[in-house]
Amino acid sequence: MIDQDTIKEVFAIAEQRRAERRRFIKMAGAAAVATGGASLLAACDANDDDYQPVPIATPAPTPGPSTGTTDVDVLNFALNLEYLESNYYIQSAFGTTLNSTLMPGQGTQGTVTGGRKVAFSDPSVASYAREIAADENEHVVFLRQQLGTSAVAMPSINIDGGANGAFTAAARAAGIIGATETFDPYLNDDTWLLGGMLLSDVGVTAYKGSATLIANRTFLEAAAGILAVEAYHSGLIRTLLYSRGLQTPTIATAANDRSYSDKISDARDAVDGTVTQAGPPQLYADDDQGVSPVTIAGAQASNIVPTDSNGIVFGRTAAKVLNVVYLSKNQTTAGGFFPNGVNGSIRTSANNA
Amino acid sequence: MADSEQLIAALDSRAKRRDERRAFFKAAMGVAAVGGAFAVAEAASAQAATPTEADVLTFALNLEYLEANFYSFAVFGTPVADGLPNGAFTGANAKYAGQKVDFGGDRVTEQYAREITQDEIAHVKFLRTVLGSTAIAQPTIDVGVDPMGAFSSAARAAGIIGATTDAAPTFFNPYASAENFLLGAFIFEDVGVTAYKGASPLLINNKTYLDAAAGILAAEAYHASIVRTVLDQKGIAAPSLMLRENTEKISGARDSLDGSDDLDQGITPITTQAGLTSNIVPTDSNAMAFSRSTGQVLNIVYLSPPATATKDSAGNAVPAVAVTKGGFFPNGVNGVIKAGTTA
Repeated sequence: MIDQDTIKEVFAIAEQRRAERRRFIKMAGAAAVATGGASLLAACDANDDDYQPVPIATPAPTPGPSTGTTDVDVLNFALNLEYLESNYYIQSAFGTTLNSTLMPGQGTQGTVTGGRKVAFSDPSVASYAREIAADENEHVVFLRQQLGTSAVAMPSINIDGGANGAFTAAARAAGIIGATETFDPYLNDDTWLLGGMLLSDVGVTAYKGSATLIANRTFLEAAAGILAVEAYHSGLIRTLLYSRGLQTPTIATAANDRSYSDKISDARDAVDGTVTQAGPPQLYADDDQGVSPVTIAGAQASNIVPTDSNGIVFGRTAAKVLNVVYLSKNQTTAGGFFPNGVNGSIRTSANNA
Repeated sequence: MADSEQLIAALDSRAKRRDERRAFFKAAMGVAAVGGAFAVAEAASAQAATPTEADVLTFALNLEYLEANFYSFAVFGTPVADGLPNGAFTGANAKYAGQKVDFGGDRVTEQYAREITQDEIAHVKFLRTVLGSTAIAQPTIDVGVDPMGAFSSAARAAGIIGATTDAAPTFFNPYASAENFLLGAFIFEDVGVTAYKGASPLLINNKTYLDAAAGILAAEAYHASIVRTVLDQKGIAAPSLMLRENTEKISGARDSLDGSDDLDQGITPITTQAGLTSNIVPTDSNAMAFSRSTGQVLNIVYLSPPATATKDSAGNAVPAVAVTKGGFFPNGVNGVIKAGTTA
């Protein structure tokens, strides 16, 4: 176990290398984002000996269902994301996984790797963790009820806080930590918020991007209701990151988009592959956003809500959501938070390589 | 370490406790309606049975005009400008104007306000662009601080301020402090979320509108979450401000205005066997945000409960006539959808 001071020191060391690294992620179009170059940073982590790259599955040639996507397909896709979110928050708040009675279904049932109860120092943050955990648990229950026997089983989920965890892979890709360091979202209030930001913004963009695919009015209204709740969660987490960032700028509000929240955002931008310049160098749309302050009408303003210039929250296609949770810009069917892929017919990420 | 059964029990109890708590607040509030300050106007016959997608976006534009002007006054001290109709707060309507908020050195809340303001103004411009030549004009909007104005009436209905008299007027000024500003914003933001959610099925046949509405819905939920989170944090830091309690009062007032459905929650946390659990997200037992019909939303912004049938002096039944103006829209909203509900 690394103590907090060590982590901060590690983060400080990593700070200097981040600019280069992020440029690398953004511009090196062919680079595999989730597996950082091992030479980027000196070892600072007690778990170095255990380091192994997070397995990235071989790209699958099977194309995603570009036509004929049913409401069941869309809701099952959402259910996979809820399995991920619920396990993260339930582990954080209560130190256990999703109830095993909520795991069976169509496809291969997996297991949950990692996660543990966070020793929150701020009781209010602990109270928020409990609320979000309860909501995400209920989303799983609700979607499973709606889907009935069509509901997919919980796939294998990696929410480990150790060196082999998906969070560490994501944090390395984001440049929050060095190539051999560990990011543990269960370490403290701040790391938990960053882990939550990583997942909750994705949930919002996924539900937003799927809204127009739903044909049934009842399902649509239900999805809109879950979209709203995910946005509340994300808003809660980002607001706390922003206010805490004023005390600890590196986590959320450091100047020039240098904070961890910005780096998470940039890493997502780099894998979800909305290319704005074919390159080289290849550039990506900055649709995802951290919480660093912006200037509005000549004065500083927060950036809690990730919107476009119309004040509209952006969405992701299902395939691009999979790029983010698989931590890969490649067309693939597994990786990152879903080591064996998601269950259901929507399971292939977009080819953004 | 809690085992799974304990966890589920805790989570279930959260939902149950929340229901009980809401029932308690509702009972405590009674059905305190705003009273006779708001005239019941013309019949609801203008409302189409099945509104078009454009009708729905037009309805939303009214709400965005309201939000954008409130925030614009709060941050800039002026109504929405930039080529939009901005003459609505002068002359006889000067009493409807808001003010620049005295944030009292609370720079963080000011920064949140600035962000939300930009979003809401962008929503107005976006919806006007999408609707093109059919976009409605800005209706008359009351975001002022007059004792008989919308904010004061809403706060009085909620029990945040007491009864007003000519000799001793009471008023609620959402621009007086960062905390009052947050309570003022609280009045609108959750309602916006429920309005967009309730309208979503009406847009299913127009994917462009639906996609935009989903994006605005999410933005409103982010805004609501900012407001609720900051109120919660401030409530913890300074319990004497009664901020959590006041959100329950406002929530109770909204619930009493929008009819018999229970569609609203304040931010007071609850204690389950799992520990203190916050209530930032207002949800039903499925952890879904609530929906409101357009009529229910209008009951709230008109500050007028569902119309009820009455009897005339001869004892003949007089059908309920839905309200079409009042509160934050003294002359009603523009567009086809403009009537509240009937009981």
